[in-house]
Amino acid sequence: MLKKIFICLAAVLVLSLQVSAQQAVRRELVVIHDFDDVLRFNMAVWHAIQLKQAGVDVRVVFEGDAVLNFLPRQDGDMRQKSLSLERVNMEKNKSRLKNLVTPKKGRDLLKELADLKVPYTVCSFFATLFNKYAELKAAGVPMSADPENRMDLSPFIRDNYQLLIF
Amino acid sequence: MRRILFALAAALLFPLQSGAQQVAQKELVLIRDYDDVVRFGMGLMHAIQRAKAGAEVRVVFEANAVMAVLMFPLPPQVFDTNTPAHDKWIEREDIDYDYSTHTSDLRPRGGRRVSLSSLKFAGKMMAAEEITTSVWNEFKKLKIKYTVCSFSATILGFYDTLKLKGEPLSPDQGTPVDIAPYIRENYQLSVF
Repeated sequence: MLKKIFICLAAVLVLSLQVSAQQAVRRELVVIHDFDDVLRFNMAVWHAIQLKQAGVDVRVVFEGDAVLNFLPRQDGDMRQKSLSLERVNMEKNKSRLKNLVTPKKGRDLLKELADLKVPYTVCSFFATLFNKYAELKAAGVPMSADPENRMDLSPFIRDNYQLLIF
Repeated sequence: MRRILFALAAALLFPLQSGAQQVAQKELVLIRDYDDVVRFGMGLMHAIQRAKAGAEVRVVFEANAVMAVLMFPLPPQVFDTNTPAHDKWIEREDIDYDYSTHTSDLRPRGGRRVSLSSLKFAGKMMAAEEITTSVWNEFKKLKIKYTVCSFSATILGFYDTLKLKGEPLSPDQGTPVDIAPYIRENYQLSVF
């Protein structure tokens, strides 16, 4: 009798350990929409990097305007509003950190994301909408499969990813 | 044999207990919205709702939202969503990007914007700025812990002002608030 109880308890214990081991790997799907504002875009990518470095299973999707961040852009566009409603112009910004909020820094962060082997996808639907699909595809940007439809997030949900929308 | 049995039973019970302790939910709310009074106010309101629901809530104000911390009580012009500021913004030609192909700007313009000058809130007619100010006051009253991103504040030129005001700034001015420690402590993230 004791042996049977012992086997049952051992089985339950092993199963529960397996389940908790599976739950230990946290999954986050980071969806980035920001484009107009380079500070927000760069910080979103930065947070994805932080998540990866914290051991999270991260995937990133760029959709909406954010697909345009994969096109070459000039530096210096800093679409912020100061208290007096004037935009903060990065050309005149005296912050010692201003180099961290440029499209160039954004590209560096995207490279870091790739170096960390964080899988990311750029939404083909929005690229098509903005007439930039061919350009992005030719540049080797990882595009979603179907240019006719927005990226389907439901497979990620089924795989227990939490959604973070920036 | 009996000892092993007890040990196994104990090993099974302890994880169950710790699982029960984890029920107190931890939420990290990142608020980035600033331009739009409704969005900023709703970010705050959702943080308040979570705190009231018993969650352990921490809020991080980052990007443009660091400016919001300085704004209360709000002067009406700051969050006037009826002004066509965004329209002017979109029309700027200071980057090498062809706006003629950019069809995503679906924000209502001009007369089609929703007037936020007088809304009914808690039975009273109030301007959107007053509503957001009252939400901010509630947020402070509930003593919800918050951090203001030093990185964003420095970039935008408000670090010294925020420091002088005694706002809880993140320690490192050189990088955005690191969310990794919160992840390790099992916080759920929400971004507004």
